[in-house]
Amino acid sequence: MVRYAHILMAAAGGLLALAVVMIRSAGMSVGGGVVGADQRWTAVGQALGGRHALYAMLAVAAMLLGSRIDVKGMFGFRRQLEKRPMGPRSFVDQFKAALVNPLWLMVLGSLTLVALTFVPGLGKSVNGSSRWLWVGPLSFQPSELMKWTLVLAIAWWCARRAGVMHRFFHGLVPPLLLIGLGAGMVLIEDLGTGVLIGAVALAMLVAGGAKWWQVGLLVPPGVGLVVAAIMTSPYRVKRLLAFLDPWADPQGIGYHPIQSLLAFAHGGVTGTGLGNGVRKYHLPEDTTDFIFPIVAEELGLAGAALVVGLLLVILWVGLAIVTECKDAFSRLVGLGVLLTIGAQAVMNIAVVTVVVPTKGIALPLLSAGGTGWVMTGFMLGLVASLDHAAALENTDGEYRQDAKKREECLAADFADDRRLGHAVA
Amino acid sequence: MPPAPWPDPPTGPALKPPQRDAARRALWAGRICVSFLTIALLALLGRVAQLQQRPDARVTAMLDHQASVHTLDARRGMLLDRRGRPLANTRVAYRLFVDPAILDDPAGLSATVGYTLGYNPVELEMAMAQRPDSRYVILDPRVPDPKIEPTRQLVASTRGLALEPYLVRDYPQGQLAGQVVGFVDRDGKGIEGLERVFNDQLAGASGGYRLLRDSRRRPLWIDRAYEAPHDGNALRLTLDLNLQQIAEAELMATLDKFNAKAGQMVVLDPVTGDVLAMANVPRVDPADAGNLDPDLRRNRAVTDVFEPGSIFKPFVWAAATELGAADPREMLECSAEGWWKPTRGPILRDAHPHGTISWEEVLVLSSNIGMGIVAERLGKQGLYDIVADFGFGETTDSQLPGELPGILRDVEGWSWTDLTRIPMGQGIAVTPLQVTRAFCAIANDGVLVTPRVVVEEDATEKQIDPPSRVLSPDTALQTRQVLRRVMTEGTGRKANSDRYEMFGKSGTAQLPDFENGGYLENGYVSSFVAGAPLDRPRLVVGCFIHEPDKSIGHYGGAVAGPAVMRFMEQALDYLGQNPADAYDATLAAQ
Repeated sequence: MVRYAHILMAAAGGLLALAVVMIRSAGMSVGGGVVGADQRWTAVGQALGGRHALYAMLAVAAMLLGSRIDVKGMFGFRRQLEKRPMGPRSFVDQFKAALVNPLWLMVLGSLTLVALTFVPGLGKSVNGSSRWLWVGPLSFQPSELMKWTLVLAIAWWCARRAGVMHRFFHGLVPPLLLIGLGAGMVLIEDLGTGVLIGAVALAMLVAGGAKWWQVGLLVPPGVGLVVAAIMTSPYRVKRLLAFLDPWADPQGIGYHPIQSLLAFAHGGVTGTGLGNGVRKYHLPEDTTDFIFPIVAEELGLAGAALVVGLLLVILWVGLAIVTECKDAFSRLVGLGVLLTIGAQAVMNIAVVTVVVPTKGIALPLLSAGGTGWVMTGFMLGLVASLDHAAALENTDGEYRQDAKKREECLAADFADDRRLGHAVA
Repeated sequence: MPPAPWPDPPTGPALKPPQRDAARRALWAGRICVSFLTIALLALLGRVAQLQQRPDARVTAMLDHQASVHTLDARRGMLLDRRGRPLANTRVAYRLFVDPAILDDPAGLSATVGYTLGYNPVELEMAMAQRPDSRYVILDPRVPDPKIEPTRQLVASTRGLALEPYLVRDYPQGQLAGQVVGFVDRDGKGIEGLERVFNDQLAGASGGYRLLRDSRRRPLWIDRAYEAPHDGNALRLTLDLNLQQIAEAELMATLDKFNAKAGQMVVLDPVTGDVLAMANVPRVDPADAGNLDPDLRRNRAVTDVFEPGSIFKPFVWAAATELGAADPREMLECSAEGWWKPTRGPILRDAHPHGTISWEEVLVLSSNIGMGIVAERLGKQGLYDIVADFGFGETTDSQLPGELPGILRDVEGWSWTDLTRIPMGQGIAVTPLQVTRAFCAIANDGVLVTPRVVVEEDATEKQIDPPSRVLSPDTALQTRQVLRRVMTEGTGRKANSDRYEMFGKSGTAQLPDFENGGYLENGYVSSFVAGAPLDRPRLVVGCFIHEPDKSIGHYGGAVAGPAVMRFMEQALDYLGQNPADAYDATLAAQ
């Protein structure tokens, strides 16, 4: 039986497959270059699409792995009813639970890794910003990790503290501190991802029960921070100027926007056909941030619509899964993942269509990037797993089987609420 | 009754209020956010469609810049004579140019190039100094063939110096048949002569392609629009270059001898109508097309008309004989005084009084009075029909450019003067080609052929009008025999050949004085038209000398006749005609 989880993963797999093909096409160049770099791979690997096919397979594997994980159980939202005594949990119990909850480790790890990018010698500088980190032979962006960690952390907090989220100091401030620290550190080197993380986090806070005006009051300072980040960085000012008038310097700051516009114009509605695009020989970031114009150039409006369509399938099928889940944590996790992917896609496409200034931000699951694919795949796998869990709960789950146990469980939850000082309605 | 497997209705777990509220709130927030994202994505898709369909003008301009358009020149077809010898062909030539902006040693260039390739360094310096900012200074518009190889070597070692290939039209025969061949303009389009008339066949369709280039202008690939060039078709003319050469040589010699202004010689095959030679003197060189006197570059054999004079008499004579208006042996009273008053119209005079002579002798002695007497028997309409039948008053359909129909007024407009003057070739204007072609009818047993300049390789495919018969074979032969007498005892004695039996007729016409009316005192067109051999004519030659010096000679038989004779002897030798019969006949006669 086909469930939402399957559709979701199929859509993600479709984007990955398209990505492998298009990166293969975009990576073509006259007389060596990217193809040459790939030639150390075997002929079979070449036939399958080279390095990126491997990454895509890894991403699919991560997605399947994620879909088998009990998210709620992993983060302590599923009571071990048999072992659980009645009544409020002791401090020791809570500490034990905290020890097995991976969230703390993830938060600490992400913050550390992001901080490490600032350490000279460890950070790898690509295109003038040191947002990369070497881990053995691989390099990856800690901001990617930070993105997903914050989603999980905020969902955890909002669900755990659902009763007090409307209160400023008890509910809002702790996640804000974390967001400020995480997004702020990312923002310094990677404005686009920083803005993305911040925006998604604020939206999740509102969804998680914070008062909207309290969150809203944070927006002006946030915008001020972004403006400050732009003004203090010469290349960001340049990008802004390039956006305002790309034709002022077509070979310099306006190069990327103009080449992107040329790609759309050259392909036209019908497209040049796969592999026949020309812009990839001009766009330096053709396989990564500017893959979408290449898709549009070679596959035309249909190709662009396919990408947007698959993204919309992920969003709405994901929303259907969120609807199926009945508890706040599941919903917030699912929502956080969807919002991150959706907002990132919107930002990327807005950049390449020159609607907003150029920012280095990838199109999820389409722009080349091994770690990005694997992590995005894994997070979508988690959303799929929510569907599996909801299906279990709604049909033959443990609650359904034993009315008495359910009563006990509810009583325990009430006890929790009382302990947290929330009035029981 | 067995217990139901699911005791509770499937409503899901009941959550405590804060959890339930949070979950609801999360769902609603999610719906709103996802809706916003959806709207944004769809809007961006619309933006993509906009960028694809209506790109900025500057974007479109840059797109064009990404591709470079290259043309592939097609070669113009060759012009060949009837035996495949080239009259015009197209080949690659090179021009040498320099881009002073990227020269390593601008000051030393003129010395280097001049020394190595033999140009005058001063001229090179001047060429560069005239256009100081130009990045395309032509040093030699057409590098001579022997210099190409050394130039290539120098170009290879000198930055900024380059050879540029382009197509040129060559005329390997030089001035030979210059006016007939015509020439092309700078773009290779035929603007005169056969080059113009058959431009569509000769001109190829040039091809081209668009080459896409990457950011460093390196070529990527050809962008869809490759079009192969199609070379033009070669055209085989009916001209025979040997005959053309003989004709032009004889004509030039005649012009020199008689100090004449211009001359034409038209040589036709009387059976097929092939134009075997068409000479115009003074000659022009098609390669030097730009500097030609427009008067000279016309093919005057078809573009100029003149009053034919006595040369016109054979046509009226033959047709009148055919119609029975007069019998060759009939004696006509042609006035012993040398003048005759027609029934209506002014007095007619002969050069010498002839007295009573036969109709045959009227032609042999070229009597104006005799022609006038018979013309009165024919009447205006009868005479007009004869003249029109022989193709006068309309073009010959030779396909030669600028051909004129001549002037033949409508019979309604004829005066009584015209009735007696037209038979002696006055009051009518013809082109040299018309006269020669009409004479072909007499040579071709009475069938009027259409002159043609292009050999039709597949004549069976083409619908052609059957040639019209204007004389019976008997009358045609009879006329030829009388015209043979012209050569032996009439005005053509000086043009008679010892080796071939020629038949012909001379003409001496005064040129009209366009300023004062009447005729010029010393302006003549001396003409002679002849065919040979008598029994089975292979060639008909018309020779027309404009304004010979009267003090040296002006009668057609004396001026144009010998040229025709000399041409005929050489041409028939060349064509392999056996002269024995005629030679024997001449010997026997002696």
